[in-house]
Amino acid sequence: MNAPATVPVLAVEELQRHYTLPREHLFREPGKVYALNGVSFEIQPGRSFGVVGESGCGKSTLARTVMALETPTAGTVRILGHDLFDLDKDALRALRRHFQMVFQDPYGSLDPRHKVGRVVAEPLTVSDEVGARDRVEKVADVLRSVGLKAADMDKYPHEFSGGQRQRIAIARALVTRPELIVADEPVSALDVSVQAQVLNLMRDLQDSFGVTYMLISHDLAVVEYVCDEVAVMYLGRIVERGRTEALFARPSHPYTRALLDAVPRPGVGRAKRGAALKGTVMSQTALGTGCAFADRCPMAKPRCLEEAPPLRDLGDHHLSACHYAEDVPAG
Amino acid sequence: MSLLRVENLEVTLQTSVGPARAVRDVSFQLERGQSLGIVGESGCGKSMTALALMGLLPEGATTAGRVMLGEDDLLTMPENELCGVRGNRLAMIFQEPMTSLNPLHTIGAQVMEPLLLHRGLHKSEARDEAYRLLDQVGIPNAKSRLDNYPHQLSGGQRQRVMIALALSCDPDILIADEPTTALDVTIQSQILDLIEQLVSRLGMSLILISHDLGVISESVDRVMVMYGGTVVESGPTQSLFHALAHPYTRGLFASMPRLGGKRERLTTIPGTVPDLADLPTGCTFAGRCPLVTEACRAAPPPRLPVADGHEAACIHLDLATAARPSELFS
Repeated sequence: MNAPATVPVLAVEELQRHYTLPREHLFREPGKVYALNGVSFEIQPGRSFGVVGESGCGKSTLARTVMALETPTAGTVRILGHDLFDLDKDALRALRRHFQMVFQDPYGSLDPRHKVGRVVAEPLTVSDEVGARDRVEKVADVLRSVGLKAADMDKYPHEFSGGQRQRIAIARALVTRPELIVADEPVSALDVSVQAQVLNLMRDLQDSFGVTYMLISHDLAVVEYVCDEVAVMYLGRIVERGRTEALFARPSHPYTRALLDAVPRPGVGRAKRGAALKGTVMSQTALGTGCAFADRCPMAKPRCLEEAPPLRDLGDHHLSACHYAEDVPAG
Repeated sequence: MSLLRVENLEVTLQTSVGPARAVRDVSFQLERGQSLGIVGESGCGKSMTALALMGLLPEGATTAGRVMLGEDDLLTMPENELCGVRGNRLAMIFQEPMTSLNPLHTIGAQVMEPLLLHRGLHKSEARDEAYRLLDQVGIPNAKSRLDNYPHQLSGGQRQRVMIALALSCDPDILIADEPTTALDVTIQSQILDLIEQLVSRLGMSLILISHDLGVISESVDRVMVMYGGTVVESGPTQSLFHALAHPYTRGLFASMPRLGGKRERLTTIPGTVPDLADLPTGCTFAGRCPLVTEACRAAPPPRLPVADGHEAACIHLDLATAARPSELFS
């Protein structure tokens, strides 16, 4: 592998986040939720990185920690080379113009009492010394680039449909011209026909502004459409990582295989579903020995229960945390 | 004779901006043991159609047309008789397994309720039957789960409880409104498998409502695509997905990112779904359709045959099927 010449936009190293549960017993240690258990990855400029996994896998905690909305228990997050949790408050605030977030819910994430112009300009007022006139111009520009009109500035969020609101949220994230946009399920609240408009917009913006995405989604097809690289998470760990196309075409972790098999595909006809994965996600409040997926894994062997598989390099930028990665069946 | 016959169903809701025609001129039949999928985006009228069948429409809603379950018209049936049908011959599973169970009662009490009410079982019999039902829907340790409260169960298990509840009186028709939308994909496929197995084993008919073309295409015999309160296309699943005809269906299908697809630019349908309180007089899709002509705006399009049992409501079917969707919407 050639060493990347540039500083990665985002570098996450051995990130852990554990939450302490309320104490239930006077003489017993309170329980813990192990949301992130050592996550590492890098995103190079202009690339898009997808994170997929089911609820409770830690993908949203990861997004919030990358945005410095959560403090990690251990590990580091570097954005453009700056360690987020090593900066003082003012420096972090100044750095925030370089990384912005788009949330899932286009209804809850825009203040209903503020006009769109103010909503979109807010990141500028926090981090920039631009005058009022410049600000209006910037907002008009960014609204046009997401396919809205400059005149929409004087309207309130409730006057827009869900898809348009998500465009406003993207405009707000884009207004400071950030290097990194973290999008947590940006299209899952939208209808299919509107979802396509927003996904195309995200790709266009990447082409014209060179923005780097970290996209969190439960929808494998959405991630495949937008992302160059993907990480599959299970119980707070990355279990597989690689180039999207190669990874989905030839997964090397049984969990990824099961996820791909579970996605219903239109047009293939009735009941072509693969054997469903048994059971549900193991508890997040216990850290067992061995592989976290072993209890649901169709390929589990005794070794899996005793020895946790490390994320190992299979070559060609493909990593898998499975002892038997080479034996995962192809589709 | 068909088990369920819906003829020209109309549902009008009262909203702050005036009456909204949520369902317009919907007709379909459901045979015993058959499964029907209703697919469409939000506001297309799919859930309102289901609620109309169940007699659970919101206050102030008015209906027209007929919903014949055997010899009985459910739309004109008095409420007290309808109570005997609802949950008994017709049962429904809702989207939100979090909110559709009562958090204050145990799982056992809730599964036993229809058994005591509709089937007149004694308490101990009902408890045994509740255990059998929970076991049948694949809940582990069903006996001890009877005394659990809903918050002690995972989302997938709560949806299993909802299915057990729906099945408690051996309904003729099971209506499932987005039963897996709130669930993870691996759990979704478990629940869909379960519904399918139970439906075929118990000989029920199924109406499955979903926004997900994939879920619909893998789970039902017949499909109805709804848009703006009307059915735009319907037919046997295989034939419909094999030869999508209506511009809306073709555009919708092309706008979905697909696994293993070529990452080509997605086709998009311009605009948004129409406002039900302000529907056009003609075709509901006219405002977004690339093939629209004056005739489309003048009157609702007739349903035209595409193939055996496959119909689409569009007067420009030849043009719509001639072009690839990406060309159609470019």
